[in-house]
Amino acid sequence: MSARRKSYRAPLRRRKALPVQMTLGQQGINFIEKIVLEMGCRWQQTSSTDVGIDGIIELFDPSTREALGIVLHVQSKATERDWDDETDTTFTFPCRREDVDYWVRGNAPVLLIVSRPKTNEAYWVSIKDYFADTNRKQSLRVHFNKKGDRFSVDAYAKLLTLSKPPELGLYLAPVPKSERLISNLVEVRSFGPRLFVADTPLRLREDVFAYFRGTGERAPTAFVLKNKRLITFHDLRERPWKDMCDQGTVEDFESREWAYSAEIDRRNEFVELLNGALEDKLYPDVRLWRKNELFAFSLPGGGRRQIRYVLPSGRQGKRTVLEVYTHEWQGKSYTRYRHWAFEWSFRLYDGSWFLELTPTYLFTWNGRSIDRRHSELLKGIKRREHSPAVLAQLLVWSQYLQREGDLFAEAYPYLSFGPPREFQLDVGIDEKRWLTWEGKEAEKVAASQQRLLEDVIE
Amino acid sequence: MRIAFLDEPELEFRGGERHVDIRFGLTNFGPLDGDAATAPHSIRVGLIGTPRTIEGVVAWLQKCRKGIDARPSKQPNLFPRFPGFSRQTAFDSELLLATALQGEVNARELEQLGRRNDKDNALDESVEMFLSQAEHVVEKASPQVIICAPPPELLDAFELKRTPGESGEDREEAGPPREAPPPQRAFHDVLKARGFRLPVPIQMIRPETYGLAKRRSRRGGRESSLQDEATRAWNFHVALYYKAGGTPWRIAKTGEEYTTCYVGISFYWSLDEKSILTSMAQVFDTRGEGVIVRGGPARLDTEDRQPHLAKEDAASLIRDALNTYRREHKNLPARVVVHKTSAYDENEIAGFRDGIEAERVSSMDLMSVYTADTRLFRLGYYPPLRGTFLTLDDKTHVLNLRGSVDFFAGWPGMYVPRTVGFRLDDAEQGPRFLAEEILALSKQNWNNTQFDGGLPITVRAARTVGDILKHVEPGAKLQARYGFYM
Repeated sequence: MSARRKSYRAPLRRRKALPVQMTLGQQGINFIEKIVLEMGCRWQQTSSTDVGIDGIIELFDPSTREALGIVLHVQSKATERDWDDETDTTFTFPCRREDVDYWVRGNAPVLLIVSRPKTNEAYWVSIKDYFADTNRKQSLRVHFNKKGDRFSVDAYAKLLTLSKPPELGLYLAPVPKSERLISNLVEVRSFGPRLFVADTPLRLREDVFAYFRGTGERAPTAFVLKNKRLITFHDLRERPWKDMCDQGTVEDFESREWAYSAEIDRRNEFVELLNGALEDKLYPDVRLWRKNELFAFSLPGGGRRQIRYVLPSGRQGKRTVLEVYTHEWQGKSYTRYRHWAFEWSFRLYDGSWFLELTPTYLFTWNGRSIDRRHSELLKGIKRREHSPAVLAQLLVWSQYLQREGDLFAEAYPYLSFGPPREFQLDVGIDEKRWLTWEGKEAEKVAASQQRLLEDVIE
Repeated sequence: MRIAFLDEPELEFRGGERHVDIRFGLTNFGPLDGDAATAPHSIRVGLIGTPRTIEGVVAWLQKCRKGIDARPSKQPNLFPRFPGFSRQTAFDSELLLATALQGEVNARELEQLGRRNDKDNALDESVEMFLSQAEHVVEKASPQVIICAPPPELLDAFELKRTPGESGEDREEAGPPREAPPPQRAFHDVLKARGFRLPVPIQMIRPETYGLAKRRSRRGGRESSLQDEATRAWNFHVALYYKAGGTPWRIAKTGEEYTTCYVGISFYWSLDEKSILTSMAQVFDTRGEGVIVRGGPARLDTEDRQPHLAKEDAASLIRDALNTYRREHKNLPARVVVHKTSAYDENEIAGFRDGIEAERVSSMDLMSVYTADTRLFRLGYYPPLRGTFLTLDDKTHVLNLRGSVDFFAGWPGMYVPRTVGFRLDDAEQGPRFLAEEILALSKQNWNNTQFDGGLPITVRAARTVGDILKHVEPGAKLQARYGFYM
């Protein structure tokens, strides 16, 4: 008895559809390429945007087939329908303001080629020459003459007169495309809501630390001691703080009175508090190297260290933030530590506080003491690193700062952070083209640097 | 907060022709003043050095006359060819290098000076050897500019060591001086300062520029890479043309604008034990014509750790600056923009206002300009474009003067570019307009023909000028024109 064969049914799923505009756009470009090749010239398609340049015509001498070293930039617009006001001899084509604004910038000639591939028609105009007339620039409408403006093999001679030699240094405006930019301004999401102020006989910060020695607790650094006044997020009515100040003078205020004060002295005091709170929040895994004015991952026990981070989507990753390696010098072996680090400033912009965070490195010879070649090693690493690697570090630091406690430790109550501030810019870079010019080595470096970024960005 | 992009400003060259790039503009059109009666079509160049350095410089300049090929590069515009410097090239100018214009210094004596332990005296004596020859050449042959060519051994003996802790990023930086550095004297700075007694500017040429030595790090570190020969030729000849009284380019006008002059206010530490902070002003117009003025002492505020002038000193400094500008250029602007390298206090704002109004200038913008730590990143290999403009709040803004450059199809720098910040302390114009001016002023560095300069000239000049002024005794003769300092 044969087993019954199960019939297989493919699951119903939506199939990919090619947008009509994309097909038509490519048909227009293909049509241009066909004519360019018939001219004996070369067409190079670029990675286009809607407003940018679709391709470049490279002119060749038709008789000798030698490259003339001259190029023309082309914007292609294809249609299947009738053009506006179309007759047997003329038609008009409306341009968008942002298109024209882009095309007229720079000194490189730009051709607008409008085509209707299904009827084998294409017409062209030199944008900068056409819109040099202010009235035309206002109307944004190009009037085409089907006989004089036809884009065909016969247009070659006219194209030659338009073209400019590359020795002139031809340029257009940067590519009009939307790009995401990330700043190193990490949002301060919250700070201690209240500040406590009291008179104190203490003069030095050491005097405050001394009060904590007997308690077994680490002395916090989030306080200001100035003119015999103690200011802190901590409640001065509680021990051991209460022993340091005159209880009869303890007052509490909303922190906002310092954070957004018009007086620069008060804002400076608030920054000092934030600096102390940052040190307290990051302790013990990240410590302040005061002399170098940076924070760095530390490891009292010595050894390599990794941290895990979690992105908003839940995706996880890890990074080595403390690397140990040995090096030889004069026949002996030495250990060196490379710590992830950052320099920082707190800034107030538009009514919000930010941590301006600059990733860097710290080199020590034992996990604590600065390596005598720290500056030189830092210079060396900065010669090799590129923007993606630095951004990746910034994003990992930002994730680390946003962690809010776990099973083993409560969240630090006096300071918390959000993500770095982002922006959207409407001009960008054609990276693929630039990297092609820089060469294979640059492409390889770019790819490896990009992989560093892909793990930490969403 | 918001972000925007500022187009690369165009420069104007001969015949009113425009281009964004200095070198392409000069190659294709020629210097701005090429048709003017005052254009230096023939530059009498004095040359002071040892027989070996004189020979090396002359040979190199003769080679440059015919042009220097571009460094091989796939990026089309970053390393253009140096077209040559003669009446037959776009520069339409030639260097006259006759023997009568040369003055020799004794190589053996210089070597002995370099080995002496009393470095300060030895440095003074070696500078004096060059300047006395220069005076002799000026008297007998009337050069328009003097090139001093010290031998490598002399510079080895009298170079400055870089202070530890510098991170190796872009070296151009602007900001308030923190504390007095240890006194340092460099041959170049002392030569320029003592050289004020000559009526013509000095151009010092390093041995590696003309191939007499490999690049040594000027600051005592390891050998760093040398610019390609075409770029060295570009920078050297443009600086020489400017010092000889020429105007290579200007910021292109965009419409009906006030005649504006731009004043950089900065400070330097004196060399003596008193460590006084002295103010100075660098004044530039859109043609890059500049004058330098030294002002009174400043105090370092204990609260904000920034240098500040008293109200009267601020008024006096700005009046001196504008009067010196008027004397040198025979006109006074309708508008003044002040770029101070540190924050203003109320007294300074009031003082600058009073001074500007007393000189009958009605429109002014007071800003502090500094190297910022705010940075932007793209999600890609290249950093953001030069011209990216971020508004942080009503008063505070940052601008990428360094960054990816579309014309170069790349980022011609290292690591992640720094931004320049500016704060509107008392401004009439809007921030975008002021940012566009800063972007344009970053193209006015006559020592650098690669246009993506990291600081506006008002502020960039401060360090060079301060390093020279500290060697000039109070009350001693100062040269006003910027060509004597760059």
